[in-house]
Parts: sequence; structure tokens; C-alpha cells
Amino acid sequence: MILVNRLQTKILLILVIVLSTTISVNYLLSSRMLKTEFAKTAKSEFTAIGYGLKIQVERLLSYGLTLDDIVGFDDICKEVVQKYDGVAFAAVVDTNGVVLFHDNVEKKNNVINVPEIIAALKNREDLVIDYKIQDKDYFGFVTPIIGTDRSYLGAVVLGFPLQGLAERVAVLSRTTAIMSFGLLIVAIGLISLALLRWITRPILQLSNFTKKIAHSGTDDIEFVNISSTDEIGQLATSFNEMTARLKKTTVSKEYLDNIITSMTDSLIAVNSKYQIESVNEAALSTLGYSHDELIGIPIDAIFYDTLFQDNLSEVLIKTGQQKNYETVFKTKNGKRIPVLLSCSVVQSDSNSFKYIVCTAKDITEMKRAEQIMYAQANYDALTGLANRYLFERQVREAIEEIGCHGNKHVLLYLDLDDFKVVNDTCGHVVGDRVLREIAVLIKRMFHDTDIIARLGGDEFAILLENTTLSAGVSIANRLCDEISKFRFIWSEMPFTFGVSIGIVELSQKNQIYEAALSAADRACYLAKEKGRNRVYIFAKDDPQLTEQHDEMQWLPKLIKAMEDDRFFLVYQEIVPAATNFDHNWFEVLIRLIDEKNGNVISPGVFLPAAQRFNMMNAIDRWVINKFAKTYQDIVSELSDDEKPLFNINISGASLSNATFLDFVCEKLERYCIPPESICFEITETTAVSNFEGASKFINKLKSLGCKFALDDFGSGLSSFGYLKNLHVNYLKIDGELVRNIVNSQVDYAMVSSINDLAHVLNIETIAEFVEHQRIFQTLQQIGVDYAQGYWIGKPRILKKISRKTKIPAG
Amino acid sequence: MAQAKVIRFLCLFLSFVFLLIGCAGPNKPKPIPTSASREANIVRNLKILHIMSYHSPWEWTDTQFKGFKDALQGLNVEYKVLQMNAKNNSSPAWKETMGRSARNLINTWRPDLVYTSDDEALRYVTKYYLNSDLPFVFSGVNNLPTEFQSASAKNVSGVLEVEHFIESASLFSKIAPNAKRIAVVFDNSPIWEPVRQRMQEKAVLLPMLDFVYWDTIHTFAEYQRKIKEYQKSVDGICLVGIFNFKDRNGNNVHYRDVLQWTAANSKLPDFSFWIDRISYGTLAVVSVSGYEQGFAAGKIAWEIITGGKSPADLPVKPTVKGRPGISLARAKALGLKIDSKILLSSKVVGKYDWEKK
Repeated sequence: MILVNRLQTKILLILVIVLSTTISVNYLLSSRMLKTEFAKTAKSEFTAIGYGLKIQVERLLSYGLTLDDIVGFDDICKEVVQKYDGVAFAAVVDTNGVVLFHDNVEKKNNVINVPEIIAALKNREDLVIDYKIQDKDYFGFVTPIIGTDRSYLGAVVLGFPLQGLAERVAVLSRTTAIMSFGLLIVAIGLISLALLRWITRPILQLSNFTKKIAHSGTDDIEFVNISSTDEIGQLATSFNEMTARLKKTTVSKEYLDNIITSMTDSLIAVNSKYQIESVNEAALSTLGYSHDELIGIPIDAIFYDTLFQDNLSEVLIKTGQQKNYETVFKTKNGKRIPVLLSCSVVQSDSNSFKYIVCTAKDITEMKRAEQIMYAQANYDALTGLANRYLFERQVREAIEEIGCHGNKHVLLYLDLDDFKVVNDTCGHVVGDRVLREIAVLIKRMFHDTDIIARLGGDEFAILLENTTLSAGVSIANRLCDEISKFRFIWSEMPFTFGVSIGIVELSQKNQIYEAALSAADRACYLAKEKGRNRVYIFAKDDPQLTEQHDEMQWLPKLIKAMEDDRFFLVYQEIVPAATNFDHNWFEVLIRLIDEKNGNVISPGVFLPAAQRFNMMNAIDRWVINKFAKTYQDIVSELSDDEKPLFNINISGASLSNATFLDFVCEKLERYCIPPESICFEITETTAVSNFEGASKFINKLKSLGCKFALDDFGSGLSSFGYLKNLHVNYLKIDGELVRNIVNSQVDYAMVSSINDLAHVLNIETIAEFVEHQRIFQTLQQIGVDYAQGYWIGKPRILKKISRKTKIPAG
Repeated sequence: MAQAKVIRFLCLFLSFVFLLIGCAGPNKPKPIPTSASREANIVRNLKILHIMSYHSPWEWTDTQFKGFKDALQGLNVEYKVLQMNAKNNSSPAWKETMGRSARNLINTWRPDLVYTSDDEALRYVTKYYLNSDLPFVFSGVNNLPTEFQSASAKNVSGVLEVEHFIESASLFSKIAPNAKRIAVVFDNSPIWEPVRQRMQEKAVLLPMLDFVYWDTIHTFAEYQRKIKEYQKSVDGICLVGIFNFKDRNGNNVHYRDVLQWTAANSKLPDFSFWIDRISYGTLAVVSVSGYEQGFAAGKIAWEIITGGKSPADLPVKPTVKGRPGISLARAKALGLKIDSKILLSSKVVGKYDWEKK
């Protein structure tokens, strides 16, 4: 049975049946035909044999012999019978059928008693006859013997058994059939080999590969190696193309199972009855059910709030899918798990479905992260208060509400007083702690619904919704009191703080947030200006606020001036008063060109605004950069020994800037400026307020060769202790003291004292604001080393410096 | 690659099939050289002079000449024939005269080749042209003198007539099984000497026969006497030389007459070696076929004319094919019934020659 199922066997079976039938039919037909043809041939042959005998007899008769005279013809008949297969007998008979000669001598003289032969004898013609003897079939040939006188003397009679003929035919046919079957076997063998080689083996190969694919997918399948170009070869080529395509586009079940098993997302299949049909491990783990508990239950049982069947199914059936639908799983123990649900429908028709396949991604962590991000985006990390972005949103909303409900709000802008001291003395960690505690203190004073924000640094803002201005002022004052009572102890050191508060009323529906905040900020600034730890109410017409506002206008102007490069440098000469200094010496000063009228604006106008709005570092960098770029041109005609000394002012902001020192060093190196030709001026107050930064800056640049001058010495509460530790080269005596030195004994004494002290510390002195000769002479008397002022020389633009200028006569 | 394999397989298979068919097919006979193929090489006319030692019409002579001409079929040949008639005139003078005539004819007609039959032409004509440029081919020669053999006569070749003694005696013995004692008769022609020698040598191969007499007879009268004597002393006679019996006048008695007398007066079965004898009453012969002799000589002439061979390159050989002959008339007269097979395989003469007229 197994054999019959094989294609090769079937084909061979068909071939065998067809060929066997053909051979058999051929055998039967050919036997008959062969028998007939053989009989014809035999008859023809035997006729020829008979004629041969006849001719011999007649020839003998032609010699004059009679039939009686002929001797030994029996032997000739015998020879014929012996020689020719199939000849049963050969005889010569007379007209009466008496045997004259016979191959069997014993039959001589017998009379033939076969009626057919007798009849043929009488016929006297060549005849082929069929007759029977003892139930055996024969055919005979009778040919008459004619004498020389044309008389009929007798006949030659030959007899042939048909059985013999049939036997010969049968033998021939059998031999043919045997040979045919032998050839058939050989042919079948060859065909079998050919089938095996060209058909069954390739087909088996294809079958095996198909089974492999069915069993284990296309992952490990290589291509079928069939090189023929016939139909099977084409099938193999198509198979390989299909396999290649499947490799690219499909994956094996095992692969899919691995994916499904290893999925971290829940996979749920829902049947048309909205029951759970199948789930993966992740779903079981997330929901907390066992496999049997979950299978078959309604899908809605595992969701909170969402009615799957009502909400989603309609959409799914219409669109075929639903992506990233946010919902909440309900676990077995009632826990809520936020998930992102994506569904895909396996549709059976346009109105119903076979399955809905859902994947649910647990977004708990994502939600948590969202919350964190939200918090980070909207709340101050340090204090937990709202940050400026949240505050801004809420203020805007509040302003919107003004329009709707007509209520008023109050905006408080808080700036802690003396906070910087804590940062500077104890570090930022302690400063942060102070901020946190103050934030807690503030929060305690307000409701949860009040919006308290930390805007940055030590600045806070509070929105008092639905509050009048007077109430807001009262709250603000109370806040001032509370904060002023706040004590922070660190390393046994107590710190106290105050707060400057600016208040602005939000009463207009079209009020702009930025303007409101700015107004509160300006009010806060004025509160600080007024002495700190107080409240200042913003009023539109307030002149102080106007001034401050004006000052604030400088910020964009300065920025634009920087962009437009409308700053330029001027140089004011410093000359020796009592020393013998033969180098040129200049102070580098900055000027600004007015954008509108081109007038030169003095630094006294814009530098305060720059200082206020933290632009001093940018301005200092511009000055140094500009100076460095032009330095080589300015001194190009001087030798190294003749190169002047240049004083450059440095602000406190620059001293505090972490990269400023590297910036200065890089410029000195890049533009090949000898460090010893630079003297940096730092104001006394700047140095004192940023002593550590100033010291570091001074020490580093002095190590390179730069010089330092302490500027405006004597303008504030000068600390001689700092002077001892700053290691400056020069002391610039405040111009206000120098200006009245001629007329004021106090100023004279102060200048003299400062000069003496500096000299004791081995520091040279420079007097500013030398506006006339008498001041210069007085300074000479005191022994001040250098002088600078309008009388000596006004600031001017320098392009090139020639050799040292002479000291003006005086 | 696969296509090549298929083609290779088909070629092998078809070769196998064709081989089978080729083996099963009928054997084609070798092509018989046709006259056309022979003519392909020969264009010019040839002149061949045929010198008969004896005469024509006579079957022995005529069949030789026919055989010769048949062998040269396809060639353009002009024949001239000279009969020496040495059988009827056996005197040396006659033979000499005829030889001269032949030689004159050769000199005047200038044949390309001379074909002679029987011994006399060899002695009286060929002898004079030994080692000349004229090729000579002979047939029907019983005794080849030494000077005519290939080593000595470079321009002469031919076919020897060697009697089929054993075959004739065997045939005789089948026909007349009772005849045991045999007398052999020769005339006095020297040509029979070698025949006698050969017969005597071969007689031992015929144990069923006893050759009691080897008689040379000179005259016809002597012959007649001998025949009568033989009736009582022997059972059969072998008539070899019967051409030179002289009558009272010294003339040769024609052998036909000799045989006719023998048929009428002898009751003994007899045999000989020449086919014509049966026409004149000799019971049985296995003769040298005159036709075969002439045909073989013709083939030699062919080789000389078309093949360019020298007669010396073509050895002299006898023919081997004998031709049985039976005189049925004589058998009847002797009361002998001859087996059909013998009759059917022999030339049978039913009547004496003289009865046919």
C-alpha cells in the first residue's frame, strides 16, 4: 500500500499496465498475423520446395527416364524433409495416388487416401490444400509432374502439419513476447531511474522542505537545490522565491510564541461574546489571576470605569483598530493599574467580529514619571512651591477670572534680605536649607489654595486671590514680621533675614502678567532701596518707580548697543606726580554712542543699569576683547621697553564669573599682550564684597605679571584689613576726596593718610579727579605717586601711541 | 548542464538502437565488379590471338575459349583464332606447319596477348616467344615442359589441365559398383605419360578399384582387340588416350568413332576425364571443365592486361572444379540404373551424339 502511494510507483504501474497491455495485445494480434503470414510464407516456401522437387523429377524425365526408371529419388525426398523444418513428408505419386517416391521408404507404393490430395491430383494444377489426418491439421502442396511429351505423369506432394507451423509461430511469438517483456523490464528500469532522478526525487525534496517549513517555519530553511529547468525546476524556483519571501515577511510559530511569552505587555484575545478567549503570561501576572480564572470571564470585568463592550466595540468594528486608549485595569485584588490599550479586530463580516486582540501596556511607571515631570515642570524642586511657570499660568487664569467675575487679586513679590551672606559664608547647601525653611514658614501662613511660588534665587511670589489691596498689604506686613523673626542657626552662628515685598493689585481684566510681575518686582526693588524688610505698593504714577523704570529701559538698550557694537574705548592718561615713571600709562574707559542721535553717552548713565541687570560681566568682556584686539596696533611703533601700562576696570560680577579668569588669560595669550603692561582696577567695595574671588583673580594674574589697583579707595567704609591681604600694586584714591583736597582739610588729611598707609604697605597711590593744577601740586606735596584727571588729560580715542608724552608743566 | 545530460543519454540510446537495427539487418553482398567498373579503366581496343591446339567446333576447345572470353568481359577485345587441328592431324610436320602459320600471324597481326589452348600450341608456337615482350597465357595443358615454367618463361603463364582421376573413378564406382577390375587405355601420344604417372600414383587412393592394366595402344585394330579381351578380364575400362589410334592407312581414327565402336561393342562400363566423351558413349566422367580452364586463363590475361602484372607473377595452377557427366544412353545400354542424385548433379546426355541427328 505504501508502495502504491508513491508517485514513481504509480507512474511505473501505469507504464507497466499500458506496456503490458500493449505487448499482450500485440502478442495476440501479432500471433494471429504471424500465424497467417507465417503460413503464407511457409506455403510460399514449401511451394518453392515442391517446385524444386518437381523440377528435379522433370529434369530426370527430360533425360529420357520414366518415373519407373528413376532411382534414388526417395533419398532426395528424405533430404527435403530433413532439410526443411515443417515438411512432414515429401512424395512423388502417380496419377492414381500411388506413392512412387517417399521420404519414408516404407510408404512407397502406398496409395494416398487423403481425399483432398486425391482431388488435387485430379485437378492437375498447383494447389495448396488443407486436410486432416488423424485429427491433425495439415496443409499440403500438390504440383503436377509433366513429362517431356506434356503428359501428366503424377505429382509431387508435400505435407506440412499446421501444428508444427502453429508451434513455430507460437515459439516465435513467445520468443518475441519474452524479448518484449525483457525489454519492458529494462525500459521500466531505465524509466524508473529517470523518474527517480528527474521527478520523484525533486518532488520529494520539495515535499521535505515544505514539511520542514510547516513544522519549524522558515528560519532554518535553506533553499531547494534543484537545477533542472523543466516544470519541476520552475516549481522549485517558485518555491525558493516563496521561501525567501516568507523568510522576510513571516516568522515561525515558535518565534511568535517566544515573542508572545516574553512580551511584557498583556495580550488578551476577546471572542465575539466579549469574553476573554486567551491571555499571555504578562496579562496573568498584571491582573493577578490564574489562567483558568481569567478565561471565559467578561472582558469588562478587568477594567475600571470603561465599559469595553459599549465604549470601544463600536469604534473597533467601524475602524478595525483602536490605538493607545488610556484606561485602567482592575486586578483580582482590586488594584488599579493604568494601561494603554491597543486593540485590533479580526472581522468576520462588516457588522461583527471573530476576535478582538488587545495589548495593554502597564503605564504605572509612566504615569508616575509624568507626575514627577509635571512636578518638576511646575514646582520648585528645592522648596516644593510652585515654580515660575505654574505661577504664571495660575496668575493668568486669575486675571482671566477678573473679567468673568469682577474680583480682584493681589500679587506679592518677595525678595529675601541678607540671604546672600548665608550663601557666601556657609555655602549654597545651607542657603538652600534656609530657603526651604522660609518656604515652609510662608506656606504655613497661607491657605493651600493660595498660590505661593519661588521665582528663583531668593525671590518668591504670592498670588492672593480675591483679596483687596489693603488686605494684601496687611498680609505682606505680617509676612515681613514673621520672616524677620525667623532665626537660622548654622554652626552655632545665628542668621536673621528680612524680606522686601512689592505689591501690585490685579484688578484689570486685560492686565498683562509680565507687566504685573514687573511692577511687583520694581516695587520690591524700591522696598529694598528704601531700607529693606518692608512693603512697597506699586502705583502707576510713583516717581521713584518711574526712575527705576527708566533705569530698566537701559537693559534692552545695552543689549542692542552690544549687538550694534556702539561701544568704544577711550584712554585717559595717568601721569606720575612724585615718582619718576617714564612710561605711558592709560586707564581704559568705555563709552556708548546713542543710537538715535549719535551722542556719546558716559558710563555713569548706563553702567548702573548694566550693574543692576547683570550685564557688567558682558561689558567687562567686551572691553577686554576690544582692548586686546587693538593693543598691537596701538603699540606698534613702540619697542618693548616703551610699551605703556593700561588700566582696565573689572566689576564684581566678573570676579564672580567662573570663566572670566580663563577668558582674560586667553586674551592676553592670543593677542600677545605682555601681562606686565596690564593693571586691573577693582573697586574697593567689589573686592570687599567678593574677597575670595578677588583674591583668587589677583593672585593668578599677578603670577602672570599683571598689576592691580584698588579703585575708589576711600569712597565707602574702607577696610584696611582687606587692603593688607589683597596684595594690590596701586591704590586709587577716590576722586571725591581728591577733588576738594585744596579746600578741605578733612579731605586733605584723608588723602594724606591713605597715601601714607599705602606707602607703608608698599603700595603706590593714584589720585583721581585732578581737575586743575593746584590739586596736582597739592598731591605732589602730599607725595601721591600718580595723578589722573581732566587737567592732566581728558579721555580720548587712541589709535597709536608714539613715544612717551611729556608731563604737563605745573 | 542537465540539458547536456539528456542529450548525451538520448545519443547513447539512439546509438544502441541503431546498432541493434544494424546487426539485425541483412548482410549486403559484396558488389560484383560490373562491366562498367571494369570499363572504367580500359578504353583502348585489345588484340588477342587465340591458338587452338585442336579444332572447333569441339566442346573441349570451344568451352575453353568461351570461358576465356567471359573472363575478359567488359574489355574491348578483338579476337583472332587459329586452329592447329592437332587432334585430327597429329603428325609433327602438320603441327610444325600450323605452328609456323601461327607465328606468322603473330608477327603480322601483332596481338597484345596470345592465348593458347592445349599442349601443341605451347610447343609449336609459344616456345618461339619465350621471354619476349608478348605475353602468352595457356589453358588445357596437360604437361608443362620445364622451359615454360615461370622461372624460365617470364612471359608465359596459364592453367594446367589435371585430370580428375579420383573423382571420375569414384563416380564410376557409384554408378557401376560391381566393377572392380579396371583397365586403363592410352594412345601413344607422349602427352599421356605424365597423366599415367599421376594416375598410377593416385590409384592407391581408390581401394575399391584394382587397375590391372595400363595399356598403351597404337592402332585402332589393337584397340578393338583389347576391348574384346577386356570383356572377360576386367569389369570396367578407363579410356584416357584414344586420339592417336591409327587405322590401316596410318590415319588417326577419330576418337568419336573409337567411342562409338566401344559403345556398340563393349559391355563394360567405362569412364574418362573429359565431358565430351559422354556424348560419344563413355558412361561417366568427371571432367576438367573446359570453361573453367578458359575462364581461369582469362582471369590471368585480365591481370596482365589491366593489372599490369607480368605473367611471371601469376603462378601456373590447375583448375580444381570438376564437372560430372553421365551418358544415360550408355547406362541404359549397360542396364545400369543411376541414382537420381547423381543424375541431377551431373551433366546427363540421354542420347548418343550420333542418335541426335
